[in-house]
Amino acid sequence: MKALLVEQSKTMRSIQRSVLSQLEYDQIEEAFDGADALRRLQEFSPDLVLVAWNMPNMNGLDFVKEFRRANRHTPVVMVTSESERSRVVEAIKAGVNDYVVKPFTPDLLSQRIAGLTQKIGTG
Amino acid sequence: MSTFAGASMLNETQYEALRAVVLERDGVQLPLDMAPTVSKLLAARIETLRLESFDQYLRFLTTGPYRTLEFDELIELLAPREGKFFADKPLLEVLEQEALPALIAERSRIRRLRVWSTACGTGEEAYTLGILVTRALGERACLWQIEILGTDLSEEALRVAEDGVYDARSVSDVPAEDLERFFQKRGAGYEIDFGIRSLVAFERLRLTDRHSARRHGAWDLIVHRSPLHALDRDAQREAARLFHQQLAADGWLITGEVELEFDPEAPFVAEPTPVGCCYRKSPLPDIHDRAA
Repeated sequence: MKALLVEQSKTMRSIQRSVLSQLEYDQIEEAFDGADALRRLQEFSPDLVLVAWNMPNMNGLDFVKEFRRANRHTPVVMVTSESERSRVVEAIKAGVNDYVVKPFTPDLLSQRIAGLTQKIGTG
Repeated sequence: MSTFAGASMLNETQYEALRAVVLERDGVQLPLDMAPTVSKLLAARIETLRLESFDQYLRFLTTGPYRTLEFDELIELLAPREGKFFADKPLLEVLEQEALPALIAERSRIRRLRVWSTACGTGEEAYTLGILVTRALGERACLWQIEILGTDLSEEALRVAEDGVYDARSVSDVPAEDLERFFQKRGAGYEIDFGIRSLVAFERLRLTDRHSARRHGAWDLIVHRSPLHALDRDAQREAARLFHQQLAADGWLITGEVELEFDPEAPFVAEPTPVGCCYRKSPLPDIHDRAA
């Protein structure tokens, strides 16, 4: 299965990559911001997207809005330190399927991704 | 500004999804015919949250960091708000003519009576029980230790219960002499008398939470009337097991007009009463019988 990681921090991408690898995602593409992710999507069709909120050039929220114009079904998980209710509401309106607040444990992220993919029927 | 411009009614898939969430988290089965009422309540909630559709609300309820808090909000929304004192006549009849005289006779030596109202909503049932026990004991009431616990899922309902002030509609079935004796007029409302209030405590409790229930010890009388949203079959059995665990060996379980779905491992026997459904604990089979 294929996943796209959209995250500025290399350390955070590494943690998320490790979680995804254990969930049998064997093709993992990394992007350092929203604009970079949109470029990579021209040649990469993920089964799952993990996206941070705060990034240079294009933030995660704008990326999700743009992504959802062309793709309504691929599950998207927002992984961010933004924890206010209004932020979660904005993200859901933009089209994210789940929302994980940093800091998180790898186990928690793993459970949430597994739960989401099972619910959507892609896992 | 309002952002909710979607359909005014949950569709079948959305309502089923909502029912599944409530069932999974609280063991409560939302009735199918409640969809219009629930839709109306949720539409208001969706506007407050500034979401745009029922689908978005369901996502907010089931994912992300606010799902537990939002579930509590949902339970508050769905909790029945229209309790009445002396509401269930058959129940009152069974209590006054059967259960209370029997229990008072059986407890006359220890002079202690413990009563649990399991889904008390805004407190009318628990206070009604306090009034009934006080009336049944008469002059002896001050010599007895009476404990009444009202539990519910809704924190908001329990706050109203603790305030103990009700409107004229809530007390419209209270006999005139009891209204005079057990209530004080407060503006347009009625405040429950301090003597009754001191007998009753309130607490949030899920009927699936056996550990929390256990710390209250054994009850002489458990009153469980089906709330607006009834428990599903499995949750009813679980609740019946809990009642069996928490009921004194010679205690009474009264379920109003609702028949109990009980577990054969935690058996009750129906008490023959003219109205309502009353149960006593069935003695467990003798160890020799079980071996046989």
